[in-house]
Parts: sequence; structure tokens; C-alpha cells
Amino acid sequence: MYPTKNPWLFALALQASLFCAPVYSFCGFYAGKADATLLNAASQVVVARDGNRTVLSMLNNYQGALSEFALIVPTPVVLERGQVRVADKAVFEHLDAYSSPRLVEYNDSDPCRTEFNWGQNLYPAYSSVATPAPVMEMADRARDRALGVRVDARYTLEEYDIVSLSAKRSDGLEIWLRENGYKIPAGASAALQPYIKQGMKFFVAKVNLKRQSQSGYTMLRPLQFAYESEKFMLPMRLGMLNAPPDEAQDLIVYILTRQGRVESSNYRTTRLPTDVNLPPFIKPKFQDFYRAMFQTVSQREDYRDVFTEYFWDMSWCDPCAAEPLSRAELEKSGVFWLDGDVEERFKSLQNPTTRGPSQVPIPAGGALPVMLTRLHVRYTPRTFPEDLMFTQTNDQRNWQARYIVQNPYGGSVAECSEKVGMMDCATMCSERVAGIRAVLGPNETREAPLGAVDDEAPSVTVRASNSPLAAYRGKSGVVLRGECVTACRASKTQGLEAAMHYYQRDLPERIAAEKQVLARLTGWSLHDIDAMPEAQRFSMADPSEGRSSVSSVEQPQVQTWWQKLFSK
Amino acid sequence: MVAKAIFEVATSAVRHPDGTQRMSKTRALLSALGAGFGRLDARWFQIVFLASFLLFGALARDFALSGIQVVACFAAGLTTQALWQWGLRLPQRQTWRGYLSAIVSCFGICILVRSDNLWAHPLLACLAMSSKFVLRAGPVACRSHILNPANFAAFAAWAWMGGCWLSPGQWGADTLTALWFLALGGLVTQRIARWDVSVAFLLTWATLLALRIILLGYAWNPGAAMWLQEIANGSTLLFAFFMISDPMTTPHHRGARLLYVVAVASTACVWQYVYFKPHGLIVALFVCSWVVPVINTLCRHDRFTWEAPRGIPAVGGHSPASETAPAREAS
Repeated sequence: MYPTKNPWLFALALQASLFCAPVYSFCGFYAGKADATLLNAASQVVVARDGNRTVLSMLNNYQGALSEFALIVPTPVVLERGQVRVADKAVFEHLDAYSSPRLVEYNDSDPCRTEFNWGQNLYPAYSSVATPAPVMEMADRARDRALGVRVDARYTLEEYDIVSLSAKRSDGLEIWLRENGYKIPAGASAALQPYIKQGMKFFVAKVNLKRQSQSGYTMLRPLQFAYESEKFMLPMRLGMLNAPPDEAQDLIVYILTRQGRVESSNYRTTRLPTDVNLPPFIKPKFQDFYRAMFQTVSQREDYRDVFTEYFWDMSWCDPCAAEPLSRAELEKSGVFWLDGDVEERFKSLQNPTTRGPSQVPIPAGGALPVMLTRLHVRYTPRTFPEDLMFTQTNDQRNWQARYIVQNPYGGSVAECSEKVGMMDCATMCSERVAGIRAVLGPNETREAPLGAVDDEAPSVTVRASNSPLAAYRGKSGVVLRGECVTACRASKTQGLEAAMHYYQRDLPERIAAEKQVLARLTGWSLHDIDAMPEAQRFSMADPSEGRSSVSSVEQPQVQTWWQKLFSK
Repeated sequence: MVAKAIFEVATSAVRHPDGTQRMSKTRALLSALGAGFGRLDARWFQIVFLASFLLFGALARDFALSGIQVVACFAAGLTTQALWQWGLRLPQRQTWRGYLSAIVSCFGICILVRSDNLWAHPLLACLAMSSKFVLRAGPVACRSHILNPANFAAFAAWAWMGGCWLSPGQWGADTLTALWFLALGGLVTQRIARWDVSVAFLLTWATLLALRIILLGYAWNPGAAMWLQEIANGSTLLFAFFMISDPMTTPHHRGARLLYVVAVASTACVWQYVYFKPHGLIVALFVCSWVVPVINTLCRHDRFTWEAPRGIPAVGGHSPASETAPAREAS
């Protein structure tokens, strides 16, 4: 399921291994995502907007009999034939995958590091600046007039029968819809009234069962409308008609803009917690984590907030939950400003007769002037009394809901002790001193331990003082070996101490802190968290585990040379 | 004096159990408190309120505002104010009174404007402060700046500057209850400079929004909740108590002032709900402010002054001191 095999991610992983020296650097490995499929009944809407031009796509999550399906969307203008098209659901699934909250993982490096560099820094380091590559049958006209309803357009589009209506009275509209076979909930007129009063039109669609069976599609495909209006809003209230006042529903809105991030102008828009470290065992349970966390944060705000889950320049991603959408996919999702004459392209979306020939070949590559805002709302009819309105900001700072797991290094103090014990300082030092002498030449080191005077030219001395070699120059072999052995022993002690700190103090403290964060974000109890299957591996209470376990920490056993000798 | 009144009220409760005497003593205490409080410049209340607004918003409501932006905004705002005052040799340049308005304006800019860079806030603060000294009009007796600095900054940020935006929905309705109480508290204690403007605006705005909801045919549910959602908004609160109520940029004649407020609210309503354009209140005030000097010329009245003479509450009233206030005082 996770696109861990795709080349994009492979490239990302390669890049991470090349450039990410510090463990906490930004380029982690993509480890999982929490997309819309894990929500039971999330409505999904894609809005592509630039200026007052809007392309709105509605993804139906309708589960019942197709004969019962009716879609009624209040629209600012009458949607004529050509202003509506049936879109490809796959594009929207891609949009979902690309923008979903993601889990990244990092791996701890081996804490048992004996940084014994003595005698090896013989050449000036070349600084290399590694820049990570970013990234829808005519009815009786007299009857219509009596009901105050005017049919502005009627057509069949693929598997949909579509009618665009203007209405004068909401009760007339409700009756018209029922008489024309639309299954609409009781009391719909009260909800339709404000839209009529605002001068809005109605886009009504039902499934043409004959066409549907011919098309071969089993699922309803998204409908896409193109129109011009100052109104930057989503008529979400109509969907709440039959819902109990406190029943929460999910809505995910993907907004594609040219200029910047989009937020709600009439509800508070906030961001999900992000960049938090979670315990490593949450990785297989990431979707459960996201569900629990979203429920906790939205409940804490009494289901009154709009949550930003993602805002990113569509040209790239880091890390990528899925590849960015291609130009062709963006056009399918309604983006009309990519190439050429924007007006021409938008008209082509509104008028099918000009659509075909006006297609401008899309040049490959280059940055795309498209910003994606992903908003997630969990609302109840009580908490969202007004339709959702948006405003486009000038904010262009990329942001994502990103969660991090830091995998502990799979070792133990005992292993470190063994590794350190195997370092033979005497032998290593002999080799390194020889190496130094080979680089410096016989005249740069003295054989005599004391008293000899260097007769280097002053220019050489000045040059040498900035060289790594300066530390070794002018010393006898015995002195160099002595310094080397001291450095070697110090590095062994240092490596062992670092491993002890890591396994006995830092790692248990870090995992305990990560569990607290997990408990706070999800509302899970620490007891439940400890009961998670993978959690035991990281529990101090279980001493039976060996590798990859904090509990496997043993007391250090530093072997002296004679212990090693006598134990043989 | 206040301590003495408290002591007398406490002792009278023991000496006069019938309560009548206690009532008069309580009144004495309130009057003593009021007198002490009344001598304070109203801008102190504004500063305390706006500071808590900013802190609350930044800490609890995730204002997406960095500390550096706030510091830079204040530094630039106060420096600009100082430069203009010293340059024009204004009498209040060496006292804290000369900088109170600048502090209030900087708080307003920080609360209203969002930016993805570090230069926008200080630049807006400079422009806002300078506008007080450059954009001046009206009859000589009550000549003052035309635009409310925070309103000018917010309008400029939205209309002219890239990388800036306004977030009208950023407060969330529920958590504002405390702030509403505080603001209303200020209103009751006459700590809002032009309390009549605040009240008139809130009544007009609430009525217009209610009318819209009724005319659109919304049922009681969700109509009432919608109305509350639109009214109980941080932007509305800030606008009512700290922007449109700026005594320097509203007409000095009370009747004209109230008509002006109704005009601003109506313009905002049309802009936002007929033309569906954003930030109605900010835009409406910016546009209507240019008419204030004309109103002041037609309906002559004393100029407002922030400083209160001893014993006379400064706020909401007009003191004799306003006659002698320097014509170019830009506070």
C-alpha cells in the first residue's frame, strides 16, 4: 500500500543517506500516511481557484442504491452544458495520498562510537555543500411556473442526468424535486430558502441507471463544475439536513491556488500538531494514532475548528507520502492557470466545443504555480451553523502534518563493551604512527626523543601551522605512539560511556517522553500504550529481550589486556 | 483615599446594621474608585486589554506570529513616533503620553496582521505612525490625523503588500467570552474612549446581520447560531472597541458621529454580504475615514483630548483642556 517501492521514494532515501549527517535533520524516511480512506464517511471536495474563477469537484462517497442518489448543489450561477464534466476519481485519490498526514522515521546511529581519529586527519577536509533536492425529460412548463421553478439547463452527462434550476420559492423547489423523482429529505425547503434568497441556482444530478450500466463503472465518479463568482464558499449546510445536531461528519477540502494558503474566514483555522516525536512502536499503528489524535483535537475545540493538514507548493514534497501531481493530473483536478492564456483555458473548461483544439501542449518540468491547502473539518450541525467561507492568504510557507519515529539503535552496552574490548590500541597505533611518518617524510619527525631542533624553513612552518599535520610534526616516534595510545584509550572509554548513557538513560527517557506525548495527543492512557504489542520491546520491565531492547542493557565489562589473555 | 473609603465601609457594616448607611458608604467607595480610575489615561486600559488579547491569542490560539515580528513592530513603531515628535518638536515628545498611542497601534498591528516575513510588521508600523503626521485634515480647531493607524496598517497589508494577510477567523468564537466581558467591563467603567461609538456600532452591526439572516429566510435554527457566530468574533470586538472608537478619527460632534458609525457598518455589510468581498469592516472604515474631516468642518465641535485634568474624567467627555491642545498633537 505504501509507495515505498516507487522510484521517487527511493531517490529520497538515497538523498537522505547521502546528505543527512545529523540524525535530526529534516530529510527523514517516509514511513506511512493517514489518508481519507480511513475515515468512514468523509466528504471530499477539490476547489481550484484563481481570481473569481472556480473549478469545484465533488467526490461522492455515496454507499446506497444508485436509484436513490440525488445531488443538489447550490451554485452562484446557472451551470450550462459544458460547465460540468465527469472527472477521474484516481486523480483525487492521488491528491489525498499526496497531502495526507505522514509518518517519517529516522534511525539512531550506533551510540558506541569510539571516535579514535588520531593520526587519520592528515589532509585538509574539502568542504562540500550538499543541497538537498527539494520538492449531470423536460417537465410540464406550466407546472414549473406554478411552482416558481425554471429549468435553465437539462442534459445528460456520462452516467448523470443533470438539471440546472432557478427557483423563486423553496417549497415550490422541494415539490418540483419530489415530482421529478429526486429523493430529498423532508424539510429541505427550509434549508433551500436562504440559497434562493441569495440568488443562487441549483445544480441537481441523479444517476442515469441505463448509462451507468453501460459505462461499466461501479462507483460514482466525481462531478466537476467551472464557474465565475466572488463567492469563495462551500454550501456545506445543505448536507446536514437529516443529521442529528451532535453527529460529527468529516469533510476534507483540497484547495488549489496560485497565490497562497487558504483558510476559513468565518471559522477558526488551526493546524494539527506536527513535528512531534512518537514512540517507535506506533509505526504499525499510525492510522489508529491519527484517528485518535484528530478526534482528540477536534473534540477539544468542540468541533468548531477547521484544521489545516497540509499546505505545500505542488512542485515537490519532503518527505513524499505520494508523488506530486503531474501537470496533466492537475489539469484534471481543475487547475486552469498552468499554461498559456488563462482566460482561454478557463473558457475551454466552460465550453466543450472549444475544449479539444485549445489544449496547449504542456511543457515538461519546471516549477508549478500551484499551492495545495488541505483542510479537514469534523463538524456537527450545531457547531457549524453557517456555510464554510474561505479566504486566500499570501502565506507561502510550506507546512505539513508530520510525525516522527526515531528507531533506537539495535545494540546493547554489552555489545559495545565487546566491540571496544576488541580494539587493540598498540597495534592500531603502530600503524598510524607509520602512516604519519609516511606522509610527513623522515625529516618531519625526529627519532631523538629530546633536544633536537627543527631546522624547517619559516615559510614551511607558517604553512604547516594551519595543517592538520602540525600536531604531529617534530615529534619522535615514541612520543607519537604514546599520544596515540592515550587517545585510543580515551576513545574507548568515551565510546563505552556514550553507549551507557544512550542505553541506560537517554533512550528510556526519550521513549517515556514520547509515550507521554502519544498519551496527550490521542487521549490514550499510558497503561493502554504500554499494552500495545510492540511496546514491550521498549519496556524497561522486560529483561528477557536481547537486541533492540532497552532492557538488554548490561553492566559494562571493560576487559583489560591481561583479562583477555588469561580468559583464553 | 480609596483605602480610607474601604475602611469606612467595613466599619459601617458593624456600626449600622440597618443597611441604609452602608448603601451610602458603598456608593462612596465606588465613587472613590471611579475618581481614581477616571484620572488614568484611557489608553492604559487599551494597552492592558490589547496586551492580554495578543498574549492570549499568541499563546492559546496559535496566532502564527513570531516574537521577533512583535519586537520589530514595536521598535519600528516607537522609533517612528519618536522621530516625528522630535522632528516637529511636539510638547509630549519627552513624556510617556507621547508614546501611548503608538503602543496601542503596534498592538493592533500585531493582533491583526499576519506575515510570512520579518519586514512587513515594522514597515507597516512605520507607515501607520507616519500617516498620523502626514495625512492630517479638518478645521484648525480640531485638526487631526485622518486614518486610524491600525486600520491603515491592516488595509495596507491586505490591499497592497505581498506576503501579508488578515486572519479574521483566527480567534474562534467560544474562547472570546472572557474578552467580551473585559471589553464590556471597560465600557461600563467608561474606559473606552468613545463608548457611544462602540455601542452604536455593535448595535448597528448586530441589527444589520440579524436583518440579513431574517431576510434570507433562515429558520431560528440555525439562524440564531449563525448570528452569534458572526457577531461573537474577535475581529468585530477589536474593531468595535479599539478601532472605530478612536476619538481622533471619528467625528467630534456626537450626532454626526453616530450617523458616521451607521454608515461604516452599512458599508461593511454591503461589501461583505452583497459583493462577497473580504474584510468588510477594515475596508469600510478605511474608505469612510476620509469623510471625517468634512464632517468635522460642517459640524464644528471641540477636539478630543486624551489627558484628563484633575478631578474631571477624561473619557467620553470634553474638557476645557481640549481648547488649548496643540493643533498638531498626533496622539
